[in-house]
Amino acid sequence: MLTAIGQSSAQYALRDPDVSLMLRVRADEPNAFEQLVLAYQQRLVNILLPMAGSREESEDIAQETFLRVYKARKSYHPKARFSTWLFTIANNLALNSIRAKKRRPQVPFINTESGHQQQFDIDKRLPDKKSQPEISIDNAELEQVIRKALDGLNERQRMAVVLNKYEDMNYNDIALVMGLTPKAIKSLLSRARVNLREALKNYIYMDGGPSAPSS
Amino acid sequence: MSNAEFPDEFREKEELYSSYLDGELTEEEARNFEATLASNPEERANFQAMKKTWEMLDYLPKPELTSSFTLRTMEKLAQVTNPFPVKKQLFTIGKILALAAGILILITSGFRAGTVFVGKSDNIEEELRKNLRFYENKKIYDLVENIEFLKKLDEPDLFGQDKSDL
Repeated sequence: MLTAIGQSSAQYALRDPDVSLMLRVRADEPNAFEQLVLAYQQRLVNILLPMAGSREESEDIAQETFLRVYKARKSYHPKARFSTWLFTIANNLALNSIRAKKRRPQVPFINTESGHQQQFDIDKRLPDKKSQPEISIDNAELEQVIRKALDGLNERQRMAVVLNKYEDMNYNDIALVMGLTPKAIKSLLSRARVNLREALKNYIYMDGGPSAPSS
Repeated sequence: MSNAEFPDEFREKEELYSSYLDGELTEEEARNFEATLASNPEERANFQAMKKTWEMLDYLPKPELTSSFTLRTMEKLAQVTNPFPVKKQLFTIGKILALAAGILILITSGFRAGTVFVGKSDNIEEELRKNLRFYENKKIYDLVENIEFLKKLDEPDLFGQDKSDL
């Protein structure tokens, strides 16, 4: 096997079983690619949903990511963990999709039963945060508030957050995925946290935690 | 939010909170930071708020993947890996069928031609077998040129032995 895949590839394959799986995909081993899809489909959609905004779109990007992986299989030479390579492709596709969406005019309206259109704005359905710091909302609403706070981050901050939070990736790995330096990632995550704290400050202590700090 | 909105000191402090939460500080840096938190309630409250914000992200449910996702992905892959679209595929199948038909016609014609040839050669053999005596004596017959004359020669009246000769 060593001569067939090269020494460094073999070393990566030993450390990361998914590298080994990808090398089997590269060798056109039957069912290897399907195994790879099954292993990563949920994780990909998890990190793509906050970027894409809808399940359909995140699944489309995830699907495209897998196809790119398959097309590039013959030129695959492991240089890091497999997930790093996969998420790099996913990140690029997600950013392209967001840019394309920005170029297209968006109409953020939803249809009402009366046939009229009404602007969709979560703030209209939630209590006024300024006038009511001690508000009470259910989990579904809280979920929407958090989602909106996440959407309020710029794309880079959002990607850094999801990779760190949901994939438990360290700064070096996130830097590899996003093509930035670990220092830049440190800064991105810090600013993202500050922005989230600002957006969620009225909701932070609603889950039975300690009272809000009096700073 | 741009860097300009954060004073350097504030940014450094926030980065310290963030790096501590992510386990990106060295052991010594982490110890120093913990000591600061222990001695400064305001710092501690700010840090707790950041920690709590981060934990709130756990409220977001994981998206449920469409059940057909794997199947759709593998089907799409099959389309991509197959270099011919349906129309081209049909065209190619047509070409293959035409080629096969051509080959079949050639084989059939060859077989028929062969059969005719083999049949002819069978007839020749039969003819040779029937008239073997004729072909064996053909040289003599050619010299005689007249078959009636040859038959007469064979009659005993002409060249038969006389009783008186005995």
